[in-house]
Formats: sequence, C-alpha cells, structure tokens
Amino acid sequence: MTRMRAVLEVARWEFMRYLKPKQQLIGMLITFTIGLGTIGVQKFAARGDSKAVRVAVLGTALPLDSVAGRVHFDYYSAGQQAALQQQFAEGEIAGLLRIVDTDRAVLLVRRSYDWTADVQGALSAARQQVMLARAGLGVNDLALIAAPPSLEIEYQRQSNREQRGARMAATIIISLMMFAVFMGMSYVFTSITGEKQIRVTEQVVSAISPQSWIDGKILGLAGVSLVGVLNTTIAGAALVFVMLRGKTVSVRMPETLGDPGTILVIVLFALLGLFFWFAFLGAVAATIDDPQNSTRGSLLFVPLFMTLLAFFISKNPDSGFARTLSLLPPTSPSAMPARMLLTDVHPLEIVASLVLLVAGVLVLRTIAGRIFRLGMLMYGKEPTWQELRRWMFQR
Amino acid sequence: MLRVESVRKRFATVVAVDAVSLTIERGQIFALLGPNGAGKTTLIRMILGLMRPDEGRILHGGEDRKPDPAQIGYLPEDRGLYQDIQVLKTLVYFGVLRGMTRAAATKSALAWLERMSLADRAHEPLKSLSKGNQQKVQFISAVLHAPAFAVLDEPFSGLDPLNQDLFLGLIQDLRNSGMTVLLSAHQMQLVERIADRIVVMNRGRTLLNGTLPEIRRQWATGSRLVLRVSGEPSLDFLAGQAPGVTARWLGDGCIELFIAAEQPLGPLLAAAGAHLDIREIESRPVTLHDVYVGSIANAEGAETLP
Repeated sequence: MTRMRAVLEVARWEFMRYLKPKQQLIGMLITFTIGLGTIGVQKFAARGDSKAVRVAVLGTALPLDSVAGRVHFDYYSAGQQAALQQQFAEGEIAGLLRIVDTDRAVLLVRRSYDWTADVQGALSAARQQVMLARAGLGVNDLALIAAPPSLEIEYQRQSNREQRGARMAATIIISLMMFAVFMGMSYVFTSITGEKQIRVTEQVVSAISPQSWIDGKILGLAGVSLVGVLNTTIAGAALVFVMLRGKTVSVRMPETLGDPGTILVIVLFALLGLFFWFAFLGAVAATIDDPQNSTRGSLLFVPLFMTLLAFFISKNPDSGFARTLSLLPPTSPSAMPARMLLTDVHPLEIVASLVLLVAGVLVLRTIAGRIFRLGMLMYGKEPTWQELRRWMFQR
Repeated sequence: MLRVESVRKRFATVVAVDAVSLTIERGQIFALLGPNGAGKTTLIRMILGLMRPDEGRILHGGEDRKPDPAQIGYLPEDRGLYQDIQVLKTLVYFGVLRGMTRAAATKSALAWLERMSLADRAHEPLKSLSKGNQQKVQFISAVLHAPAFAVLDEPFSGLDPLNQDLFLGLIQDLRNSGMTVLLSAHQMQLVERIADRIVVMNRGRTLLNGTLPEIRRQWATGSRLVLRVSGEPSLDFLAGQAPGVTARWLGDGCIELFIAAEQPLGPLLAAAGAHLDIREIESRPVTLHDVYVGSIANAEGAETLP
C-alpha cells in the first residue's frame, strides 16, 4: 500500500467516524435557537426598561422639562414634603428630587437605577439654560460656540464603514479559526487517547507507518472541523440575517473579501494553520496515558492562546508586533488573514509567512510522527520530557 | 523464511531479549512459550518491525528489512477494536490498511464472518458482541488479507473450550494453506497439538528450541509412570534403591514417578512391588506442560543458586 493511499484511507476513516451529520444539524439548530432566544430576551429586557418612572420635584431653581427619557417630573410645593416622603416610603413614587439651588440637587431613591442618568441629564440641560439666560445668550449662540470646525477625512483605502467592516471580518475569521482549533482539540484528543485506551494501536502500526497514521488523522479531523465551522457559519449568518432584517447597516465588508486570490490565500493560511496545530495536538495526545489525570492536557490550550493573540492586532495592524505575529507559524494562520483584511500587506510578507508556515507544518508533522510512533505504544506511564526530547530527534 | 540472529533489546534497566536466535520455516506453526515478562512480546514487536533490536539482525526472506505489511497478519496481545463501529466496516478498514481493495476486503470479511457464524452480526457495532465473538472478529482482522506470515499473540485467551477448538482448527487450516504462523500462548495442551516447532523463553533468553520430541529430549530423557496403590505407604525405599527417580503423590492413591533414562526399570519395579500394594500401572509421556514448568523451574533455580 502506498503511503498516500494509507494517509487517505485513515483520513477517510477518521472523517466518517467523527462526522455526525445528524448531531451537527442539531447543533446548528441549537446555535440558531439560542441566538434567537438571546435576541428575544434582549428585546424583552429593553421593553421592560421603557416603563415610565415618576419623580416628585421640590424647589424651582432649575426649570426641568416635564419628561426626560423615561422619567416624568411632578412639581410640588415645599409644604407637601412630608406627604411626599410618606408616598415615597410606600413606593407610590420612584424618587424625590429636592433642588436646593442652581448648583445643587438631592435625589432620594431606594437603590441604584439606570434612569437616574436621565435625571442628571435633565438637571444639566436646565442649568445650562439658566446660565445662558444670565449671560444674555440664546441656545443658538451656545450651539455656535460649541460647534467644532469641519474636518472631512478622505480615506485612501477604506471608508470608515469599510474599516468597521474589515475589523468585523477579521474578528469573524479569527473567531472561526479559534472555533476550528477548539473543535480539533476535542477530536484529536478523543481520537488518539481513545485508540490508546481500546488498545487498537499495535494492530494499526503493524499495517501502516505511524507517520501515515498521524497524517491521515490530521487530514480527516481537519475535514470534520471545517465542516463544523461551515455549519456554524451558516447558522451564524442566518442569525445575523434575522437580526438585521429591516435595519440599516453602517458597515461595509472590505473589497478584498471579494477578491478570489485573497480568499484563496486566507483559506490556505487557515488549512495550514489547522494542520500545524493538529500535528501539535496529536503529538501531545499520543503522550497521554490517562486522560483523566494527565497534566499534559493543559498543553492542548496552547493553540487556542496562539490563535487568539491575533485579536490584539486589530487596532494597529501595521505595528512591529502585528508584523511579527503574522510572520511566525504559531500565530500567522490567524494573524496574517486578519492583517490582510485590515491593512495593505506587502506580497513579500505574505509569501515569507506562507513559506515559514509550510516549513513549520512539515517540521512539526515530522516531530509529531516521531513522538506518535513511540508514544502510541507506551502504556501504563507517560514519557518524561527528556524522553520526548530524545524521541523528537530519533529517526 | 524468518531468521532471528542473536537479537538483544534492553529497556532502561531490563534486558528484555537477550541473544535470541531462531528460524521459522515457511508453512510452520512456530510456538513461542514463556512466562509473563519472558520477552515474547518484545521479540514479536521486533519481528514485526515495531521496534528495532539493539543488537543482532532479523531477516525476512533473507533480507534485513521491515516486513511488508501486506504479507503480515498480527493479532496483538494488547488488543482491541473500535467498539462503536460496525463489525464489517472495521474489518474492511483493516483489510484496506493491509493493501486490499475495498471490494476484496469486503468479500473476504464476509466470507470469514460466515465461517465464524457471525455473518448476521456484520452490521452491528462490535460492542454488541460477546467477548468470545469479539475475539473472533479480532482474529479475522489479523488474517482476512491472507498474509504469508501471521503473528498470533495469545489467540486462545478468553475463549471457551469449544472456541479454543475452533481456533485450533482455523490455525491448522491457515498452515495447510501455506501460511506461516508464529504463535504465543500459555495453553500448553493446545500448543502441543498444533505446533511444529517450539521455543521456550525465560527472562529474555531461549531455554529450549526444537520440535516437541526434541525439546522433550532436551529437557528430560526418561519416562513417567503413574502407580495406583492402596493405602498411603512411605516412599522412602526409593531414595536407597532408585537414585534416578523422583516421585510425588498426585492424590487419590496415585504416585507419579519420573524415571531417568539411565535408571533400569526392572529393579525399580521389583522394589516397588515389594514395598507397595500396586493396583494399576500407567505409562504417561512427558507433556509440553511438564517440559515448560520443569524447564522454567530449573532455570529459575539455577539463577537463584549462589
């Protein structure tokens, strides 16, 4: 059997073994339903907050508008203070506002409420009017004083809307990459530690080389993760469509996303990134004897951490930090696609990053194969760090 | 033909296999015997190319190379299959990994399942089968690609007597079809029924190597008699009159006598007739079990002597 046929057969086996269309469909529906539910709860919560609040006002030093946001002000004379306090104590009014003078007011409430911001706003507006009147100025005069000079920014590459869109697209791509790595973490870990536990390993490695086995696993499980990502993307897109239906969107996706070449490069980075991290995960999982008690399990979070670092480049994608992240294999699978959407990246940078990533995948895959070869046949104990170092260089 | 030449393998502080040499001819059933920790599995893993010897050579067909997986079938001692996958799918997967086409693997798997009376379970997950039936599926996965050389590590463990007999027949059929079989097992009475050649290992070394008659001669030349007597007479007379004889009570009035080749039987039987009320005499051949237990005991005794 050729090496390629062995790799493809294992990939097929792993893909079919872990791809559960029914469960993935249910997962999509659950994601969609939870999203819809969250939107519903948000709307319900917002509607609950719109209920009017009555606040009694004592003192006339500041002329408040009768309504400010959700708050309705009712004026009373100083002689009614005792009766108002009684009403407040009995919960008939939400607050008792005593305006001492133009610079000071006291609001009596039972606890912290978000509508007190409306009271503060109303007091500020009223005080502004009083002060303008004292200075002999009108509202229009104030508007003229406060108006900034006009500055029109002409963006050479992206409009403001496009920049927001680019940031959003970069965030989505990094998130999807994280999701794919997270799914892979679970699949690779389950697949390899599971096979060690059911003692199927010897039979397989007597038939094909451990390198072909781990290559096939990486390929097959990357396929399962990509299907999972695709499903989640579809569910997410459907949810966004429902959320934004009938609304004006002030975001425009960057034009680079419409370029097939850019899409191809982004997909290439994503695939190579998955191969890179799945090889790492495979090597770690092969050294774990007891998944319940192994301390090596924490190493599985390294890929997640490296992937999420790309989130930090969105504000300044041209910084040295961002360039470094997009060049080095552990972070480039998520950082370079993000940079390509956020800024102009020199083609040589992209090529250099791709070359390094391909080299990184080949090196990590080989090291993973060596660790896998020995780790998969080791039962009852985990190899020491010294043993692992020796295995890495053992041909 | 497989030739193992002075192979040695060390793990940390233990020498698992120590200067072992053996030759397995085409079409033989070759039995590898020894207690746990004797080095059998390590030797098997080296023969299969899963491990490299520290010293020595393993020649497959005269060449020092890894065996061709398509020509090897392997039933490991530490075994298991995918419990949640259908039996047929698992078998086809292993067949394809061994170089078969999917169609040929399916055809062969179905034929083997039929032979094992498991055809109606082909589309059930492995976990729904009994332990014995799972063992049958394991066996099929090792041989469905009709390899030239099958390595069966403990094929009888966990089987009831009927299935042990079934497996004996299957292994003999494999040999008759031209397959070479390397067998590791603890069931001596089964091994001696089918093995063409036997190696007994202990602590990484070869203790005995040959056909069953050869290793009987290597370990013990002589004969064994079982005497049924009345009462429980003393056996002290043997010490003075038959120095080449060891005796032990088997219970139920039976005494087992191991008699060295040089010990003349006539005077011994005359002395026994004088001291014992003998009701029955039975001559029993030395079994593989006797050879195995005796050779291991001898080796352990020799190693523990100052």
